[in-house]
Amino acid sequence: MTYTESRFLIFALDEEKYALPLQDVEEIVEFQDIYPLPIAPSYYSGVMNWHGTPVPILDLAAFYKKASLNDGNKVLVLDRKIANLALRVHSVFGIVSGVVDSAPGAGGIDGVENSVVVCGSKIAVLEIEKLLLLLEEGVNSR
Amino acid sequence: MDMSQYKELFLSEATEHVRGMNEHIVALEINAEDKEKVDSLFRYAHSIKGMAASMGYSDMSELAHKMEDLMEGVRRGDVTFAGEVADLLLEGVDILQEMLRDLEKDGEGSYDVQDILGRLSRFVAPKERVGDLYAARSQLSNTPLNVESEENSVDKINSGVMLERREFRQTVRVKTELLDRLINVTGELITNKHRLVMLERGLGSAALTESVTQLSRLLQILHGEVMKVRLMPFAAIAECFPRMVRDLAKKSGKEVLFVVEGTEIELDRGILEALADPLIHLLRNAVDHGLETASARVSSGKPAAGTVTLQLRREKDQVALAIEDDGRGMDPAALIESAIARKLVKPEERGSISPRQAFMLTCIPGFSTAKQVTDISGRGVGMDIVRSSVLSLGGNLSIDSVVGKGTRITVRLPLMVAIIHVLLVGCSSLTVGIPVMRIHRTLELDRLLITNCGRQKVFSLADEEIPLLSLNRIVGEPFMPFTGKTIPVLVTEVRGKKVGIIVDRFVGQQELFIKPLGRPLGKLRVVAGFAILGDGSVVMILDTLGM
Repeated sequence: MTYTESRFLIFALDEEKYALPLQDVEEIVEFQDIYPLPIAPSYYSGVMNWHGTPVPILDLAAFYKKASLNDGNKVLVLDRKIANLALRVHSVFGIVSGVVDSAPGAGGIDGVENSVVVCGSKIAVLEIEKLLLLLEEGVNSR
Repeated sequence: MDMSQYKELFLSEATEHVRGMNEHIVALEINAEDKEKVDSLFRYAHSIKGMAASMGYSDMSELAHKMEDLMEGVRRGDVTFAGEVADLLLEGVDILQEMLRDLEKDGEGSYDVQDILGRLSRFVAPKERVGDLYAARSQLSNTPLNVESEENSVDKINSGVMLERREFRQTVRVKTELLDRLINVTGELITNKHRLVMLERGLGSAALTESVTQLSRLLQILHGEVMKVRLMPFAAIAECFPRMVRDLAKKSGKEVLFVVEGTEIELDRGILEALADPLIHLLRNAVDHGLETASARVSSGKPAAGTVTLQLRREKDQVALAIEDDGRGMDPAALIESAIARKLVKPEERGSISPRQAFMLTCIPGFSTAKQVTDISGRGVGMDIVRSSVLSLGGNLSIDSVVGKGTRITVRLPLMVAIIHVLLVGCSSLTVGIPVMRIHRTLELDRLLITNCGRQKVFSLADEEIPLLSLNRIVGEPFMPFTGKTIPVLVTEVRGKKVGIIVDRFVGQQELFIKPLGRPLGKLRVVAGFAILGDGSVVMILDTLGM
């Protein structure tokens, strides 16, 4: 692993902070009107009309079996090249630069292998590809 | 035969691969541990090799093959991806680019590659070749010469970057994207038209009604034209396959009878483009790995010439492609052992792998059953490329094989671009859409006509007993007991059988622009996609075939 500095978006689920590589996020929007997404697993909040494109919203806290946050008011639309998906989170703190360090299981989430240090505290870095693989596996679990 | 239309496809794809190689080499130079990048760099080289060979550009194919060999060494851990390797690969990429530029200007794409081929070869399997020490020493004495040529190549690269920028605007890929946008805008215009129609109904203005009707008519024409622009016959890519199969057969000393069906079927250009590369891989595999030699065939009682069939069919909203050979077939047990030997499967899992799953092992990166590396289809690396490109189009791939009889690979792809007629139906608080072409008829069923057949509720329609399902149950909504005298039912087909589906209400018919679910929901059962209605709301489009 090479230690290169990159930029991260820091957000929170409940009290816990997490980081996403900034290049994986297309846009941050307010949680808006959503439409039902029947048949899909219940950790999807629904689907939104994002500039004329239907984008499913994943309730990230519900997926990670933390308390579902129905008051989550921010939605992170992922890079369109990676997925057609948006993540509903509790709040967004901002963008930081940092160096990735290995930290398996950080943030209490299986599959997290890396963290980034911000103001002296370690923040788990979510790997979108891993998250997508898990979601694809569970797509017909309802 | 006119090769120009394939050449354009080839150039746009190869340019894209070369661009990807550039990116990956540079990234690997920074972090050599990225296994995924090693794999994809290998695949890029492999794809270019295959495509160039099928177009008859032998210099390019040879160069890509040697680069692929080098990457194979990196993949195995025999070669470290250090500065020297990256330099050499980048030099190779520059030459590939040079060749592509030459082809673009209607040149032959030829280039004196002997020098770089020699230097690339030196890296491959150095542990096995003691004699290379001498070669390396003689290379040392050549060093000053190389420095000089490197200086030259800097100039070449600089001018290359400028050239590439200019050509970037002319590639097919950009044109296709433009067409995609055209289709998107057309789709959204149609959505907007429905909104206008809704508004117009409330106003009762004759002049407005007149112009909305006119608008609808024009949009219909626009839609038809836009879709036609994107359509090309399958022949556009399939016509070069017979030649390719013939050359492959010659090279491997086999007799092959090649049959193509469905070349007249018109397909969306985006699908055709995406299909070309996987198909080349599949045909190569069929000839090289699938078919036996003439003598082996005769001694097992088969005709000397093997048959390879490529068949394209349209199945409603899908394209089904089957590549079939009557060769040696695949042995599931041998595949499993091979996967165990490569540590792709744990020995204790041996017993729990079905034959169908065993065939799919061939799609794991790094898997191969070829006993030796051949120029024709290499290491069977094709299958993982084929599968990942099919999956990325939202399709699927299945493999059937019988030892001694042959192998059939079926690829199913959805039609990516679609504006279709949809019946909107209500189901408790939900509104969902069902493609009209899936619906045999709708009716208001008198509840007294419903009878029980065992546990199944059925009704009679034209002397046919049709089972009834509830849409609520299908979409996982709470079941609502029906209260009215009649019940709205639509008759559709599920797994080839007529089925009645009870809905809460019929909302109406609309032309909707279907957008794919994309990743990660792409494989959600029963759901064909999303659509946006005139009021901006999003509905799910259900595919009754999957119920």
